[in-house]
Amino acid sequence: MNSTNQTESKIKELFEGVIIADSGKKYLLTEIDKSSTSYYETPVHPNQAYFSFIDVATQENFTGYLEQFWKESGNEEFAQAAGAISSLAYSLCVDPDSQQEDISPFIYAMY
Amino acid sequence: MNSDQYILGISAYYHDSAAAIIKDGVIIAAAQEERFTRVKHDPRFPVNAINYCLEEAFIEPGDLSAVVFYDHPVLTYDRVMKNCAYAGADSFETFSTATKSILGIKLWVDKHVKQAIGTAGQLGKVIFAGHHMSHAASSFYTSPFEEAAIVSVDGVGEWSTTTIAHGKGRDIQLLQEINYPNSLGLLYSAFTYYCGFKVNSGEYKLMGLAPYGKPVYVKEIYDHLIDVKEDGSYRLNMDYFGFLSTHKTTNDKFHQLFGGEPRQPESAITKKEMDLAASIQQVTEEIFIKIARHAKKITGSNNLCLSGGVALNCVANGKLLKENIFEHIWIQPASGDAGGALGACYVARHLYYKEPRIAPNGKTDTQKGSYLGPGFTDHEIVAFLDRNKYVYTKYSEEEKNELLAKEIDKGKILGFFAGRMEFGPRSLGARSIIGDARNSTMQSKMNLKIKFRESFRPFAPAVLREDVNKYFDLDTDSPYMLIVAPVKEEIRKPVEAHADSDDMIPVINQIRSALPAITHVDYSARIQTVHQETNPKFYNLIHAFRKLTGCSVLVNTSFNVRGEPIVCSPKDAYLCFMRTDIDILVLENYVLLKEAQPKFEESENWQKKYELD
Repeated sequence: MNSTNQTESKIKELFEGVIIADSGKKYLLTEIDKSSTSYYETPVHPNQAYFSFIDVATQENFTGYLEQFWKESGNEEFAQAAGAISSLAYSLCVDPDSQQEDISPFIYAMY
Repeated sequence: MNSDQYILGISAYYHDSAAAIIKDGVIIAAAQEERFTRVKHDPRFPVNAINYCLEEAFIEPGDLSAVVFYDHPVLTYDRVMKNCAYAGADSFETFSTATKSILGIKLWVDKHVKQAIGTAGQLGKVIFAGHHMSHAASSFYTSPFEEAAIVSVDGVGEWSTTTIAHGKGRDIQLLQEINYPNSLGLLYSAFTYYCGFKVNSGEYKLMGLAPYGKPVYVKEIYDHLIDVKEDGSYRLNMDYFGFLSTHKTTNDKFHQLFGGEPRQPESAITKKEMDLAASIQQVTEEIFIKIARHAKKITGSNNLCLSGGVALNCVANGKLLKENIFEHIWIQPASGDAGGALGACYVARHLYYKEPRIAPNGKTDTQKGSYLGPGFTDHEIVAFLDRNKYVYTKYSEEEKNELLAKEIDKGKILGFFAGRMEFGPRSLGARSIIGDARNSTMQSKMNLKIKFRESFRPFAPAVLREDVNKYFDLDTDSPYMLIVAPVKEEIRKPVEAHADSDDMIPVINQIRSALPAITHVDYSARIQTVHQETNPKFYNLIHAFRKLTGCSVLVNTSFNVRGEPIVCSPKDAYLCFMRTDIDILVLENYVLLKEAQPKFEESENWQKKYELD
């Protein structure tokens, strides 16, 4: 298996093992509630909303960073996947000049 | 740290990469990467803009105190994971694309910065500022206000789509937010896409199209697409949107609601698109005003700072101003992602380093007219012209303006290149195409023979600040072309009620005022007030035109063709001049006439180079 296929496989594994396994959770606020008077929230991620640092100095450091990030926000399942995500990030890390798959100009780039 | 603190801000990888640099809290330079690479909305790492900022500041990378990025990739990835968990198995393609983009590229900004300039500054590591905090900082810290309500509205940044904050002195406190997938920006973009325009650039076209239509779909939008509370908070009905699990903003249900598939790009615009544009514009304005009222209520402030892509909706800004909710409003001219680079600098200075803010004077902003990009010396311009054997004449400032005023009066169109390039999406008289606003054929000539763009699109007036109230129902500064206001009744001309049909041409060709080139179909105009203090060269040109003709208004549109970034250098300006029907090119005090230039030939078809926007 070449490295591209290995990466694809890791992404698929993460998707099925973490994302799909966690599906059904109401992570997004999408219910229309005619009885409520407001949909505003207080800032959900105050630790990162102002400024912060991301520790990617080593793969282990980044694993620790992700674990702490998700534990603080109450996402134990994601915290447990921190090692796999960190590993994936290190294998995906590319030169910025090779970036950007062609995204259609008719799509809002949101990630 | 009290002096010589240089901070570099970067925005990249989404829309409109840019870099900005501040020294001890004062803006030194800011520019979008697209101006250097000539790729419109270039999202790549802004190495050219960074190098320009360092050159303008006259420093080495090692002199930087800190480098700041305007967005937090882990927060964004958290959103992607939760989005896909919510959407389920259908979202794998979204997950895979986003994972490669975020974990493969965006996460490694620190590395990219060190690769590009060899250092992340004396701090040694990149600071990640929050996306909406960067927007908020870009508007508050450059505003004239010591204290203000701050509202930021865009498509999405990390999780947030709308934030309300309170700024006071050097501090900003985030108070309330609306989070993804509920987004006013994405709602507007959904209609942009549905009406056949490109997202992130076509929103401006949709806004320009709105006055041709009637807001007949407003009820459908409120009944089906969005639930809005009295305080301006809202939720989208995701049954009608596709972006949770696909790359498409809208879905079949949305299309059925509005009677069919999206308009094909470049196909004829019909009454349906005009009415949709009018409808979503009205809904946006109503929500925007409610959010502003709520921001006033929870902050108690008399001042408002606006930023985020939706703040570029100058029609909504004009309506907001008219509501008199706030005594003063200031809008960041680079309100889109590019401006995040500037805001990120201030997040580091005031929130990380806790440096005090330079006391604002309550009247003028510190954006320096947004003339923050590269400028070119006489020596550089002459070297360029002589090297290429282009034919030019040098004039004194006064002689030049007298000559140009006469030429404009005769119907000639200028490419006007003066001083430092603008930061932000609008041309403000430094890189502008200029014409006579009184000329009834100017709009169609500029649209079709110079800009090569849709004929319905209106042009903006540049007017001497002291004369704005003679022509428009506005008596406030609008130096950044971010406010739309009505043309005065006294100079309007009656027109026949426009036909309720698909054909816009008879409507476009109506002469609606004494300034037909800048009077939109609803008698509105997107106004730039020109100030002696911030752009004396442009001010003096309009002043000379007033002396000759009695009129202190000129048409001002961006110096580019459709799909091309605004020109940056003399070379870019010359190419645009020769490729179009621009009659005269003005490079500072050097004037070039089209008929005097050597034969112009290009080896490649430039129109293929610039993809239509």
